[in-house]
Amino acid sequence: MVKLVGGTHFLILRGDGSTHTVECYRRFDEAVAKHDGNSRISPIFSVAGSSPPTFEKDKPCHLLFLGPKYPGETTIPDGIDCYLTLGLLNLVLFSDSAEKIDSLRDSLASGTVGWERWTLIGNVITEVEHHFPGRSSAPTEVTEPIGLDRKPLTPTAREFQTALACAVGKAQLYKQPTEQLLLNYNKVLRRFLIDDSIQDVERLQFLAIANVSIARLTWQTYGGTSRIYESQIPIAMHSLLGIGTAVLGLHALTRFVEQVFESHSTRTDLARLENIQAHNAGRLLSIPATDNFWNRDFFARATDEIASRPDGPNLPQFATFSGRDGFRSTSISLSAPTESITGCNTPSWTLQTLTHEMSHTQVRIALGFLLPDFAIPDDVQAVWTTITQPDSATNLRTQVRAFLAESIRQLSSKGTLEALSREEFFAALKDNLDEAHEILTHTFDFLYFYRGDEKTYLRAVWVSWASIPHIEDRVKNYIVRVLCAVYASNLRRDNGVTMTLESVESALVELNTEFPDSLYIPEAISELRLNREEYLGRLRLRGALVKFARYFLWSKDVAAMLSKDADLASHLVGGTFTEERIKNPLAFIGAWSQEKIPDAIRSAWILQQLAYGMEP
Amino acid sequence: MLASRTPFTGGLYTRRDAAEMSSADLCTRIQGLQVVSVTAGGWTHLRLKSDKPLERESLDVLLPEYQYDFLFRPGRANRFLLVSSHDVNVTFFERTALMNQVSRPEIDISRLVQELATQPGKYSMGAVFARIEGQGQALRSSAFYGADLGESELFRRLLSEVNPFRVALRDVVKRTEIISIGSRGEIAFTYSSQVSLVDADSALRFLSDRGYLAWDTEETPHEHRQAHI
Repeated sequence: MVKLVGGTHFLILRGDGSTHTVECYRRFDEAVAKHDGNSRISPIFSVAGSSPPTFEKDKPCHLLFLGPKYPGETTIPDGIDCYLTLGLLNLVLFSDSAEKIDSLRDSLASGTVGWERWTLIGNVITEVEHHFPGRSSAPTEVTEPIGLDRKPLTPTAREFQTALACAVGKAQLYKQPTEQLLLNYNKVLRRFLIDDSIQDVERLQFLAIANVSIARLTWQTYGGTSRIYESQIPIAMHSLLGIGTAVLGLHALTRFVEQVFESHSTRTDLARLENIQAHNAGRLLSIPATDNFWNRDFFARATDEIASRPDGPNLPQFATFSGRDGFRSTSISLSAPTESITGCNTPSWTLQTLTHEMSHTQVRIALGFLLPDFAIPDDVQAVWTTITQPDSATNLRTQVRAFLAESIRQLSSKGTLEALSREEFFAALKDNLDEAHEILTHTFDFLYFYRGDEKTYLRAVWVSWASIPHIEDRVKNYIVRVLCAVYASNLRRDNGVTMTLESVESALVELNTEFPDSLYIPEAISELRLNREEYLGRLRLRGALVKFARYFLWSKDVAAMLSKDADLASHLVGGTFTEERIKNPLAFIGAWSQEKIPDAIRSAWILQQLAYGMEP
Repeated sequence: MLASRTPFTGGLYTRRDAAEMSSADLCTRIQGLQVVSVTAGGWTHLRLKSDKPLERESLDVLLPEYQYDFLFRPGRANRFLLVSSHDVNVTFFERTALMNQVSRPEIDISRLVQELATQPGKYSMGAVFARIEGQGQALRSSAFYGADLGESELFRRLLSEVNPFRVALRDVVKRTEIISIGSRGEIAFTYSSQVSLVDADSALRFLSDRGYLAWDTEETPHEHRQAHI
């Protein structure tokens, strides 16, 4: 058992090109006092009460950096001080005995574990040795010519190839499973790049995002690894040892979700609606929420079908940290704020917020699959025909496409369907798309990742919004989004719209007591009270879209996979690493990110558990 | 003054002799029973002090005085609700010599659960206890728990296979449990403030207005207890 006890120390490396020296301080103020252009720093977290390493003048001592390794599998003998780091080399061991350090290194370094060993005289590094668990070789799938004959794309495509080759090589060095993901990424993007039906500008945008994502992934995962003194990373507080473990924690979380949707893909589920007979009501919009039709699980598969027909890998979304983007998603990347590295134990910076970003991805897939392709006039006409002649629908998918289009169009109450031309209808739909996307994402997040728990969901979203400055002008939209999400639980209820509004208001009043300093909760309460009728009206207009999310984006099989073993999340002991492993990372972060004050040590424990403590 | 979060259990009753029941009448029937307070909503808080425990189990701990809180709510004609803090209603009726003079209504829990599941409204179901018929001794009963059982498609599907006899109603807006009701008029709720009594009143009115309550039943509390032993 390894326990984080003894506080945070700050390890500093200074180098002038020829000499490298090391210092370590208990207090940040002391550590930063002499910080300059030649200094790099990282926090290290004391294990079992280890004091900061002391470097006595002219006396030999040894620092061993080792990882990535689950701390719970480590036994530290007497005479060695141990610390955890947020870097990929996540264990630091210190001793004045070379034999003890070498013996421990030999017992811990196996499989995917690498190490770097510094011999010091006093605080001056005199010798550096290192070992990578794997070998890097130029991946031919990445380095072979793309076959792109579009000059404007060439520089960005070259950037892509080199960035990806570097990322694959680094993953090989540390035998990281991201190697295979990167190679899949390469295959999918290459197909995309040589697809002439896609405009250059779109390909360029995709490539640019991919390049940023791969570059971030590489420096954030492997920055601060061997040779450490040559591998600085541009996050000042982690410039020495990096944040590789934190990134692997993000990665473990996002892969858990991705794998669920790989085995049960949104696109495939929606495609299967084609095999279901059209409802004889014609317009799905006209079917009451309590009708037996909605009791049907449209996405239920036979057990053997799940086992034998996995839907194959999607393009992975590499998750990284970003001080500028905060929580954000694109179709091929995800980011979390750098504040989460030291504050993910709180609702403000919890990694649970990433589920919102991952929900965006699934909603994007669903909308892309169901909405008409506006570049194809026949596709637009097909949807319009089902809308204007509901009885012409041949299968449920056709009806669902019309249902979705009508639901989005009616978010703005401009005119009745009968009064609109085809062009006016689709123009209104396009105008409302961004809002529809957000509403569907919130509802998806609420139903899947918060398991319909209104109180937990509202707490999470309002507390995380409270950490964003100057968003007063967005509060009205945020109110509508949470009303829509919560309404998903009240669709079948008499007077469900009013009850949803009252329920959200009552939950916000409770939250205001719990978080009296929250910026926007009082404003939201006041809005709901002053403009009650306006919000009731807006929710009524959005009811059909919520219904779409509840019945055509939600599958109980997926929900069961996402919440599997969720009740086992809180059996771990905070700050301690044992043989107990995490079964469900979503439930784990939900349970362990409820503290009010950011705590770097508790956050480090959470990130280490996510990165290395998942049950295989 | 009642402590917050005090659980009360008891039931709905009707007097067979058609006489109205009042808290004053109760106080004359049993020594040591006093009115503590009367709320604007018509609830009376009664307290019974006794040098002997009402229930045999309480003999485990000998005290100089035993204290029991009751909440009494008269209804129309000879109907009333009585709940106690220590589940001692039967002993109470024995002491007041009312044991054979009161009977309990039937509540159609099965229909209530069915309708709350198919046409949900202001109440959700937080717990449902049901008999399972046709499975012999192998499987006799089941219990379901959740925040909103009626929203579960699985629960709705299973409803045709089970016969509910007790349900806990939750307020959807406040997200709190209001009252638990049994098919033989059993009532339980947790007192937190006067609002709990108002909420319990509203729930009982809901049951009455929707016709789930049938008062012309002959079972006494004693018979009820025997039937459940």
